[in-house]
Amino acid sequence: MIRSYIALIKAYWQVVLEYRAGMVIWILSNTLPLVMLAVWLALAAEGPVGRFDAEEFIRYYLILLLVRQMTTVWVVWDLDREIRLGELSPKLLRPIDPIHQHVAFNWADKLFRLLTVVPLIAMVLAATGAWPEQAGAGRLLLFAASTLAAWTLRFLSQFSIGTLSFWITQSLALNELFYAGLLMLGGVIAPLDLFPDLVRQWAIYLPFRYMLSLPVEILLGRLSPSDLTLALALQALWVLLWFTAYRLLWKAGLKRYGAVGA
Amino acid sequence: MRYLKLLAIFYKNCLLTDLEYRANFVMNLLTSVFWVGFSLIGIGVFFHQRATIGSWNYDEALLVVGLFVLFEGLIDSLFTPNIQRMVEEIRLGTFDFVLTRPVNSQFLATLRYFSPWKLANVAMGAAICRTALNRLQVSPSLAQLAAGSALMASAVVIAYSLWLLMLTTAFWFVRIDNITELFWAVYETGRFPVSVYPGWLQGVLSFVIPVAFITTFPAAAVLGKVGAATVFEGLALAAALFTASTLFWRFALRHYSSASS
Repeated sequence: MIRSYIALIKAYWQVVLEYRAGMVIWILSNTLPLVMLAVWLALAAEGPVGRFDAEEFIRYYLILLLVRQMTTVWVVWDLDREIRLGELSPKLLRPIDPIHQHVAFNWADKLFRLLTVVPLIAMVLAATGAWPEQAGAGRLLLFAASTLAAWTLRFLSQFSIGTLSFWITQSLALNELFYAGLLMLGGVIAPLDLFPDLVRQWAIYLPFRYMLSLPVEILLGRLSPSDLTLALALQALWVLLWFTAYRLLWKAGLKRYGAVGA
Repeated sequence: MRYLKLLAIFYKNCLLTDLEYRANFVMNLLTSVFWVGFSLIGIGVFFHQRATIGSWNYDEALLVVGLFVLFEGLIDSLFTPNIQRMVEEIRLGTFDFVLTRPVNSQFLATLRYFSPWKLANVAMGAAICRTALNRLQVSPSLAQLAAGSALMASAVVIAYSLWLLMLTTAFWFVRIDNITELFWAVYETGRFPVSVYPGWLQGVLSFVIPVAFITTFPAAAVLGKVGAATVFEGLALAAALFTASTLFWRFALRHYSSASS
């Protein structure tokens, strides 16, 4: 398994390099968090907003940008195309589950971003003096683990939505709705802390926070120990739920796919 | 006149095609409602913390959001389908058929197709604008209405010209779906009145990539926040951009040698 992963990642690394110009544009066009940061900074100039001052906003959004770069997923477009055009058929014949190819492609891309964008953001963080210095090794470790879980959540949820293409033609539009939820309640528009209490109370039970905002909150040390435990538990629960959804949908979808394609 | 007639035929043709896919209409409407909710919650959070941002109150900012949604729908409906088709045609070499028709090639390449269902966003945007004006209880003076309309018209021309500039780069780059992503990334700033941004960014958004002239200034004109000077700037900018993008298009055509030769 590990050997096939290494081979796959090597192959997809070439693909990533081939499309590097497009990649750079994709990375650059990821501006919404920066726009939001600019607006929040304008508000923070008049005095702190909630528990956020200007410096905390910069820290929050730069780390959010970092987490977002490390959790980008596009598998729903690939999967939708493969199912619609029948490109899935040859992949099913290979002795490896197609999901592993998508994972490997994504990891090759993450490797690229780890070598390019992540050092860039880290440099900006250091230059603006916004690096959260008080973050110890334990917190960094939790941050990394939570980011990995966030990626898993985004990947599994998008893959599950993608499998809906076995039945409907609108899975991409559905994914867009889900993505709107992520922007809204995943901490991009505003840190969850700044939402009205009523919204925040139920937003923490939705999956969106655990796909983006939670690692940032952890690294900034904004959570009390009991909140942290609850958040990590909920994140784990959502990973489990989406994994179950993916397994069920994929199995049922393949049955249906066989019936149509054969 | 002839071109208006042609445009009517083109649009009727697109409408008839899309009527075959009525389920898409429902889906588009749903998505559009969702994104509008997104925009409203988006500015709602900011106003939950502050009474005004960039010296605009909630209802005034709502007008900007309305224009943001409206123009997003307009661009998606009128310009996006054409850029997609043209990139495809340049890649396959069928763009030659566009050039050989006895109609202005720029007209044919940029306005041939439209997506009726995307107009849902335009209607939603207009509804938000109306709600905002109702809540503000302003009755704009005739001069303010005229200024607002003039800036709206120049906003359409500015949006068209920016898309023509991007579309024209397809002659060299062929694959330009990414370039429009960059436009949308900058357009995101149009959700908010331009005065919330730092000074240098306001300059960029007013005169380099003039998103401010698409969403902020038409709203500001209706509300009487800006005067005649801004209207003239807007009209001049629209004229300049239109001329520049048309010249660029002609320059590109002279250097186009088709896919096969």
